[in-house]
Amino acid sequence: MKRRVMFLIAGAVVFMLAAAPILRANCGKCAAKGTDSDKKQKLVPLPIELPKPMFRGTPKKIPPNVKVRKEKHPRPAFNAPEGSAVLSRDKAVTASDEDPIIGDIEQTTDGDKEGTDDSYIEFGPGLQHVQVDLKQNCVIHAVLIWHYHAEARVYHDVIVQVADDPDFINNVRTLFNNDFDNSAGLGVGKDWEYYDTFEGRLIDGKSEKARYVRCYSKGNTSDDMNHMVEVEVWGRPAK
Amino acid sequence: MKRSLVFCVLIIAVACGALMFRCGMMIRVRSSRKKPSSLEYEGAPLDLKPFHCDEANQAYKCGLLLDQGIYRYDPHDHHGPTLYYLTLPSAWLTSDGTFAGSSEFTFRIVPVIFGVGVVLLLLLVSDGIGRPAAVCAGILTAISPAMVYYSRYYIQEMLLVFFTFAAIGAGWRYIRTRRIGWAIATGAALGLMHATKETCILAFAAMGAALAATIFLERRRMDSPPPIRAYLKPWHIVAAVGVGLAISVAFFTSFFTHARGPLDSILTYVGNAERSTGMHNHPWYHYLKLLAYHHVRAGPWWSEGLILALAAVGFFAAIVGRGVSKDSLPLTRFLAVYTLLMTAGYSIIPYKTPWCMLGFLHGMILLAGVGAVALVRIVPTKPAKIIASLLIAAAACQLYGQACRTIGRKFCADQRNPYAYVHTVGDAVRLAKRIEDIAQVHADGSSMFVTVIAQDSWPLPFYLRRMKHVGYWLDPHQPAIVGAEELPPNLDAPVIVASTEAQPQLEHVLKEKFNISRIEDEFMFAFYGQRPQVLLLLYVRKPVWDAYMEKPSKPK
Repeated sequence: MKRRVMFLIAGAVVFMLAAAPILRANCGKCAAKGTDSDKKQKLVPLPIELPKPMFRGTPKKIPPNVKVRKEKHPRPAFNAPEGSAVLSRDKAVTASDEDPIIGDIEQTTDGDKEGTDDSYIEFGPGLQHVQVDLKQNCVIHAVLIWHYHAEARVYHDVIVQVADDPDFINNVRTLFNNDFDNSAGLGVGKDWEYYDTFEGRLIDGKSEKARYVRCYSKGNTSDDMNHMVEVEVWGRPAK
Repeated sequence: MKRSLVFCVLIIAVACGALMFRCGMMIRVRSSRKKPSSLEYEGAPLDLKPFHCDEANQAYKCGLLLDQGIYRYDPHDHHGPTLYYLTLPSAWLTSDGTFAGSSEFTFRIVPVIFGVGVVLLLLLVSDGIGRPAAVCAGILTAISPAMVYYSRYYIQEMLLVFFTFAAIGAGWRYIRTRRIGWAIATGAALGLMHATKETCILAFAAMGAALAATIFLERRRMDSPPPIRAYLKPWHIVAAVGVGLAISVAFFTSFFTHARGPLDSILTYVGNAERSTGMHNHPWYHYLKLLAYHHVRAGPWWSEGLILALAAVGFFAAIVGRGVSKDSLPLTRFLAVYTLLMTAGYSIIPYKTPWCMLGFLHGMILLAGVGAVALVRIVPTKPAKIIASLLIAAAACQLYGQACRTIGRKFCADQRNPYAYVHTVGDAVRLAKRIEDIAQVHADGSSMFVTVIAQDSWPLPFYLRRMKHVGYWLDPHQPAIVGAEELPPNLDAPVIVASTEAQPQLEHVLKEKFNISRIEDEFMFAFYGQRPQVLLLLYVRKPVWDAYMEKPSKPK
């Protein structure tokens, strides 16, 4: 009997030792992805405000729905936990090109998503990015990007990453990457290229917990420049 | 003697500056809102801007002449032959003498040289418009954004401007010296104009009318005008016409191997009259608006208003006779009437592409040189003359800045640049480079088959010139006819390029052929821009793409 008890205690200790790393990993995952309470919360559609459509009909050279992937218009509602709000509005922005050709980098988060001349920022050629500092760790439910939607364009190497530090060294996570040939050097992306429209591109934040959001692009099908109308980060401050 | 030497040195210095500028060596002050103004060196090599589809088309035609020694004048879709023949020395000197071995430099250096030649030709007319005016005109020619941009553009326009000015310059020298050599040079230049572009008839008509108007005005000015025969010797005219005809016939017959060429060079005007009512139609004021002020969307503005304003001053100075010396009146009046008629002629024709305005813009630049000098002369006091000179110099600096921007990296192919007319985007060059890189990992190398299915595939035939097997089809169902043979599109090719119009049909055919439900099961595909809002799709067979991606030194 005594021996059986000893076996049971030893078995329990071995089990606890084996399970500990798995439990720790899961806890870490919870910390990076927000808490389990997110999953239990009621999901509601994000109240995204869209700008006026500037895409003046389908251009004559591009047949309707000839896209890299057929997409539904209007876009189906995106559900996020209740209480999710825009975290990026008027937050500090930095950019790889600090001296844009047109506009100021602060326009990235000013809430103006229109496709008009004074709504967009133009950065030089090559790989460029804008980076939004949310000022605190946040649980990110969605990221919306409008590059330029006054005409039909496909922006190349669209990559959205989140991280805990401004230099994107620690805990960098990629939410979206359509760099199919790794020409940006940040890894081959499996996401699809797309036409920019007034609806912007909605990227699932996967409830990632981070303070910094970085959006890359590398030219487009109309010219070598990079443009940004607005970046909108939806979520809630992390507890 | 000393003054003429200084003048020659100045013109040669301006020409050297123009050559360096056009070859992409430029220095400019870049203003920045966040950084203090700093003197920044920015180069613009001749291959910086992608080839426009027209440039690619011309280069391809020249490539046929280079590789096969064959040229046949095409009166329907192409201009005269001088551009192709005059590119041959460049091809022999800057490449291995083959189309595949050529580069953008091989072709674009030709208009660069003729663009610089336009400055040097001012030496012929210095006693006709005055040396200070000639120097001013030289500087404006060197820095005019339109002249700079199209001096780096592989089309006929800059050659036409050069031969036209050569005809005027040589004609002026003949009037001054009455030597047969200048008469022959005038005839040769007129013949070369005809062999360059059919729009030379506008210049011929404007020259003839301007000559008549000048003779009329000069004879009214003189108390006892000499007979016209005193200026022109009949047999000199016969020699000039004979040389001009011989040169034109030599070029259009492909140096006496194609008898129909000269006839086609006349019949082409029927086709051109029909073409002038097409997609490039614009209102009569289009060119003037483009030169006066151009601003689309957010971004910088362009204006050659300085040239327009000074040309207007030069025109009135020439007609009224104020601010222009008596010796300069005949040629300046000729240029005034010639430029007015050229501007009117090009404005009336509905067919308008921006490079066509070079014909009258060059006349305007010559008049602007006259106008700048006249303006300083007319202004009454010395301080006012200094202020006028400084204002003109400041405006010229601004024009130079615009020229730098016009050919610079950011705007050389941008839709907002008034001279970049439906220009090829950088994506098209990257597409061709990607195909060449993929071929490197394919077993066939540069012999790898590439299928292109598009109604308009230019400038790909130029950029894919090093690929040995590229087939072009209009749509996936329509075979190409090569000689007596009908060739269906090669859909087994490892690389297929298609327009977005051809995409639905092509993907349907590919799905049936490879028995796949999704195109991505068999192909990697990506979008590339061809021109603004015109896209091409690249399809690469999965195994080939995977091999390419696994290549360690894969170019980015």
